[in-house]
Amino acid sequence: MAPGARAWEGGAARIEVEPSDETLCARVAERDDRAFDLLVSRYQARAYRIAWSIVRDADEARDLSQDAFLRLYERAGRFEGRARFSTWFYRLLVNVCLDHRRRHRWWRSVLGGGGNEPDAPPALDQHPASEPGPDEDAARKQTMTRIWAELERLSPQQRAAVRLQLEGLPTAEIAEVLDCSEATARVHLHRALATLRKTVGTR
Amino acid sequence: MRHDETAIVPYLRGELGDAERRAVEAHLAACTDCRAIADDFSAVLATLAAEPEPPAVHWGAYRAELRGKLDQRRGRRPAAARWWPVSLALSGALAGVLVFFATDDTGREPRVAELGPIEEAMIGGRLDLLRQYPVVERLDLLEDLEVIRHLDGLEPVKEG
Ligand SMILES: [Zn+2]
Repeated sequence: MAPGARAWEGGAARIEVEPSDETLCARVAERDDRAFDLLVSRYQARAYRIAWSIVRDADEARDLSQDAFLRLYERAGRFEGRARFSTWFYRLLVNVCLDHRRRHRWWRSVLGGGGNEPDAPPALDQHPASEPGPDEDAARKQTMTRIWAELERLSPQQRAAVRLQLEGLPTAEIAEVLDCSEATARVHLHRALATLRKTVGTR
Repeated sequence: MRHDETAIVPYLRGELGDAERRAVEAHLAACTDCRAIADDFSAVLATLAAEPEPPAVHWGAYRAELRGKLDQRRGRRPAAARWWPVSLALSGALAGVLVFFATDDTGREPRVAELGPIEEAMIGGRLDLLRQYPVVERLDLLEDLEVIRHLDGLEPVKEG
């Protein structure tokens, strides 16, 4: 995942170095479309997944993640390299999604109803983890359905925090993305897990 | 006894520094409530790791669509600056007209008579431009377009 030295090619000691995200971002600022394409390829799946976790609608997630890339294109020159590129980009992305949620909710309340319903739980059969037996499979589906329902009750910020921790971001970086203190990020995660705790039912 | 429950997730994720980690460990050894929370949280984290993936995306199509949006935006920039004052004045009326256009699927020629008198006055002589959707698109009306796009039943055709 982390960019850097790629591979030794052949016997000759030729090192092919993949440009870092930060380097690509600097090139995007100079309107290098190839660099932009490369960055998009690197981040498209994560961006879409994060957007989907927040808005829970595949079409919206697609649009919003693309909006985040457009914003990246426009603002690449403002990336100062103080944070990692990924943190900076996730922040753009999460803001696009949270802004959208706020606007969407406002319009829905004005216009009364309407708007997309969130996706139904995805068909779990399409991605079995490891060929579980029928009982195990049923139990897993049940837990997943419960957790899906409970995720709906989280605030968008909490869902974002949960997704970002799944993406492997440490809490300090989640805080940077959500533009809050680390203590607040801890609270988001704690509250999210406290809500989801009901779904595991160990006691 | 101080229960710092918000340290439990970072503890389980192994991201605490030595001092804080030892403090949490000591607390968990002594406090059954927090230990129960920690056990449940680690089960939740494991379950979450298997969270369903979103519906699959064809990434080639995704990038092509993104490139189209980027081109559209680049093309629109200078035009948007020039049109800014007009777009401000007309944005409200345009939202109405766009809804009108979108609902009237028979009409290449919108029936002006059905617009309210205010809209009609605001649009005035600019209706000829509004008939040409590409011109409307070039106005800096992204917000309105986005709102309209999300209204039920008015969704413009979207490629698969
Ligand atoms: Zn305790």
